[in-house]
Amino acid sequence: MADAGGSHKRKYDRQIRIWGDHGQARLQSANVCMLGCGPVGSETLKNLVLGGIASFTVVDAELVTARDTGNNFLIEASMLGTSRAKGVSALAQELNESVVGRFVEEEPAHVVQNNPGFFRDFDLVIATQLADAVAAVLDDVCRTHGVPLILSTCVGFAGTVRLSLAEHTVLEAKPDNSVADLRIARPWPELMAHAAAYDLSAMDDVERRHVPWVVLLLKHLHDWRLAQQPPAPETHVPTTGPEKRAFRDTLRAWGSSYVEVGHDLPDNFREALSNAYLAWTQPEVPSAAANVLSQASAVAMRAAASPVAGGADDLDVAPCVGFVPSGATTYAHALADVATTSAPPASAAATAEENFWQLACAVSRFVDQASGGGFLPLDGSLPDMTATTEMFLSLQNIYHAKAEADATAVASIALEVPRPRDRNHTAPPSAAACRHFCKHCRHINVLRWCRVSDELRNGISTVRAALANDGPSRDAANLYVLLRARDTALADTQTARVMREGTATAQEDELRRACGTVLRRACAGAHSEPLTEELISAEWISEIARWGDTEPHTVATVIGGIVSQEAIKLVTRQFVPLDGVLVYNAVRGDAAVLDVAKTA
Amino acid sequence: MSPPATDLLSSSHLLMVGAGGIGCELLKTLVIAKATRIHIIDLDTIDVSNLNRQFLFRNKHVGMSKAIVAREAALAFLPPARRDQCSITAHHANIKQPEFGVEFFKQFDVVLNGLDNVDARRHVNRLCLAARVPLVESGTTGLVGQVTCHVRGVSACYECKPKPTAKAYPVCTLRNTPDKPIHTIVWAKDMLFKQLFGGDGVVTDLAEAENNNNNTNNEDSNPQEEQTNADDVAAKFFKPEEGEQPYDFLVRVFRRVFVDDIVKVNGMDDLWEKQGRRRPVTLPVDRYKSNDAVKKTASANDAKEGESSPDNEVLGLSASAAAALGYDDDHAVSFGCKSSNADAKEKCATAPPPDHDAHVFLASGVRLLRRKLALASSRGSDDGVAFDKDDALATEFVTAASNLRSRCYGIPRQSVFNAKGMAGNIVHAVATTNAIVAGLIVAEARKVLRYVAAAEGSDERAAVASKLRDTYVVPFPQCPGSKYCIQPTSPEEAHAGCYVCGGGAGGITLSLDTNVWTLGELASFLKKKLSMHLPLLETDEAGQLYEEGDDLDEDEVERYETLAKKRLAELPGDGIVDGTTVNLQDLSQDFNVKVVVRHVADLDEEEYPELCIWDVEGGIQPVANAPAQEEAEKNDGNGASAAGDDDDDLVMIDEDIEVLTENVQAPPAKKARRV
Repeated sequence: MADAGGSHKRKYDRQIRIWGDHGQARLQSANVCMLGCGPVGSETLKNLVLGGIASFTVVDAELVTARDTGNNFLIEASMLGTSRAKGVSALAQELNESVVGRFVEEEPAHVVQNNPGFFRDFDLVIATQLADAVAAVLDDVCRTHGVPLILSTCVGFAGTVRLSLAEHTVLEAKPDNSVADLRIARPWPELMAHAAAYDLSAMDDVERRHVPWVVLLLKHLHDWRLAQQPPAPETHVPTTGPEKRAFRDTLRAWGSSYVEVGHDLPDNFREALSNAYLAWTQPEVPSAAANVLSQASAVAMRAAASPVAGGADDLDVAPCVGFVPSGATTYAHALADVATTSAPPASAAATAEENFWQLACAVSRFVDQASGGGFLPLDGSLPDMTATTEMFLSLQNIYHAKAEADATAVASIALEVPRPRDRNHTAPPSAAACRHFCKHCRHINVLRWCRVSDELRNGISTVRAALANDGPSRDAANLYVLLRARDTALADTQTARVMREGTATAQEDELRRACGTVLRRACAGAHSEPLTEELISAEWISEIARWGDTEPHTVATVIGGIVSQEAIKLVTRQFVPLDGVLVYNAVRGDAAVLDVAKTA
Repeated sequence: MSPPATDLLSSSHLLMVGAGGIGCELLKTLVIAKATRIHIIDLDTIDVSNLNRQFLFRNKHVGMSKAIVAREAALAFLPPARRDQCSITAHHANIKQPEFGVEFFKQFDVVLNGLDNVDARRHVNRLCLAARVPLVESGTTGLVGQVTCHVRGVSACYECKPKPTAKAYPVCTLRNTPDKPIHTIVWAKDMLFKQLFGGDGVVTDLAEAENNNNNTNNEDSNPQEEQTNADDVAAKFFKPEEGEQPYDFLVRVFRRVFVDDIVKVNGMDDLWEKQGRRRPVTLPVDRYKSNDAVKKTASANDAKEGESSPDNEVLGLSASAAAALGYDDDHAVSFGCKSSNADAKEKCATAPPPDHDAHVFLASGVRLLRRKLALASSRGSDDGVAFDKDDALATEFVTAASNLRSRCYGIPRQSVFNAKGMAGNIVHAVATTNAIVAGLIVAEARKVLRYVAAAEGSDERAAVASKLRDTYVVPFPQCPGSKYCIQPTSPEEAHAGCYVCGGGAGGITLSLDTNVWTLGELASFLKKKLSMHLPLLETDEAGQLYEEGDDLDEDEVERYETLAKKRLAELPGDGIVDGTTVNLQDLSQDFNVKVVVRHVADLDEEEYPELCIWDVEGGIQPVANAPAQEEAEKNDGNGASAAGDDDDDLVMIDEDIEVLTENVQAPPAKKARRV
């Protein structure tokens, strides 16, 4: 076992390159509960086990049927008639010997309704093919325990994925395309002085061609300000089209003055021209980050006052201490394996995330104070550019020094922010944690999902516009309503029998009636025009009716991939997770996200 | 909304190229979807780093053929009744081998790619075009991926749109004036590693550095002959002398590359004074060379005692020397010390990290040399040790060498984790994206099969053709302007000027110095640039000038060898000069293309590291930010590797570096123009 760390690093090398050691450590300490292990459940489980979660617990009461052997990768023919939970767990376990597998042979709905305490100790609950009403109860239970929940449904060639938790903060959003924060429009004094020290007319040609474009833009902006009539203040930048054009033209002319007629501009000037827009891009706080900062103070104060940080839920669920589900089995050998490897290192990243609101509050105060001047702490990164080594390094030092100074200022402000009551006894966030937070603070985000019960009440009226308009979300809205309607039809014994055993026409009629029911319910009490089943495409009604309760493997592969990807985002606390209801339409081969899961 | 074409999938003949990340998912999904006739090709063997997503493989399979193990695992999963009906044929082989030619391709209804490199993708594309078999192509990088579909007459071929290729670094920057970590890493891997541990007769630019410096005063003598002699002398330096101990040899190499060569470069004043560069410094070799722990580690062998066969010796020489020294890589600081071993901690406290680099250089270098010698004696010929990113010893040697060189030049050091990522062009990969993409491939394949089954010219065929899609998987919510995370789009239209599927319509112009380039250099450049397998090169004036293949007779081989050494302008039939059209052919790919040569002298190496200008007429420039389309050529020293390694797709190396170094330290980046 001594080498477990090393072999884990090799095994997980390719994914550690996505989410880092600290992301991997989080994954390796995650205990995941999987309700239902049909094709989507199994596909999701496979992906998470390969990724190296600490443990999984499958809850499923079904016995393996012939259909399972045809559409579920974690079922073998020899398992016919035996427990599906047991079979799937055994094969999932084989995928990764470092993961602990458990299973519970019980109906998921039964556990949700009778043993809510069962869910308390998981880090994530994933529920597949759960009836809406049960999902709503499970959601309440999970929120009480502060356990994130992912819900997924697959009906034939349509499927949905939805996350549900009170709040999720993201520090490392890792956006694909982030523009460097260089403060060219609003330089601080040291940066101004650094640029001013460059005298291009006193340089030889080689040196001049290596002046970093950041310096060229800073100097040119300074000159532009002085050239205005009357001279513009230090905060002024080109704003109108003609001003911007003139700025670019004079910049080009400046570069051309150093080359012979007919020759190309030097590379550094070309880079300056293509980045000229940065001269009038104000270093504003992006809206997602601004949203976080605006509530940071209130949340931090509340956390300091109440023992449960950020806890907005107060549902009363009797804890079932020591509940051991009947039939639970653990794989003891694997359990031992995990115990020695899953302790995550206390890194700066983890500390920064744990103290998210306290540090966000400090950053918010920093922005408001003179030290910040209305701007976020600088992240200190400088992109590659044409420059000599010396020039680049000295410019980089200016940015590093400012980033360091900002992080230090944030750290000292953080000491003044009240600490959450449950962490009063631990040390305040370290300098490294503050630095980590400042480095990422431009992309911080907070997401909150409405309760499933609220979505069941309001979701359909939210998508009414999409239903009525011939837009890209129309099919998704149709499928969304149809899946709700199908659930309603199946909830009633009488109609459920028709849905399962009736003729194709009878099934379609039943489904259409159910659409009418959920649509009318959605506009009960609303002042707007009532919605009717006429809105729902007849074609989709017949498709959904025809598909019945099939879960084709090809569709499950895609949905399971999406569910596990979202699970990893939640567990690693990296990337921005899905904040709506994703509807996968395998007929069209697309996925759309409906905005029905956010808090009001 | 017609019914799913399950039946077509089970009655069709499918070819899967690649049994890696996407391949495992795909094979599973196909088998469950009741496909019954599948061929699967992959030349790769299983590595530990595959196991986080290539779920058909287990620890016990490490080192075995991916194709064969994948087949067995997929069959084992089927119930016995279905197993008998399902025929999976596994080929542990390179897709470029002649037996997988046009005739082989013709037996399939569709080809499904799960490859990791542009080179093999282009090869498959050409065979699909020649055999008129539709291709469903795929790739993933981290959380993004794509599935594209290439059907002749309906959509673009894989090569209609040029792919971004790996960045080439000017040799003079690598050799004399590196200023980024990637420069020292490429130097360590492509020059030093290859020169020291490559096969018999390998000469890299490292050895050429020598003759360039020595030759400047020999203008009178025959430059070609001088060059050859100087190459031999330089290359000889990098081979152990008769009776020289491996350890002494490595110390000698250390002294050469980190002291003598640095002094020499330092003496080239024009590189430093006017350019505002900092001069490199030498390393104190004597301080490192007599460390007992290093000597002991270098000479240790983890092979079991009493079994001294060469094979066993090779096996024993694969373990990390750094680990043996107690120098763990902690992803942040190269060869930091995290070992719980008290001795190692003590060592760590007394020896500052730069010493660690030197110690690892010597210990891992000795082990690699011993492995090379053991391999040579067991095989009977010295083919050397190829750099492999998953070979612990190779990556730590390259990391140590590059860090030592970085120290000379004041460049930040890299951890083994980062250096390995850069040296091996490693692409992020995770099971989730591969699973999504595999599902999408099968969905697209079903449509393609319906297209194939429909009669030519029928309405049915046109209807299915209009439903084909290229699909992009983008991590929510970063898809521009929309909330979609699976985005289907109509497939690209064929590019009329495509030099692969456009019937030779597109002209290619190659500008180079015809008085300097030899035919051999031209042939190997074109072979690589055009991803050809067995190129044949001719001009209208001179006929065939160059050909590769196993079936050449001795006379031909001799003739081509002689011609290959000639400068282009000196070739028969007035030579290849300004305006000459070179006809290229590759029978193994059923591929023809014409290249017009332009003569141009004195190209700036800094601006044109390849010393030529490659211009495809009407060629669409690669789109820089297209989702998941960033691909680069694999450059791991294994030559034309084909089917599915663990890197399911490749991103441009530059972008990779940005990501990898983000958490370490910003690279002191600048790309100064220099001579």
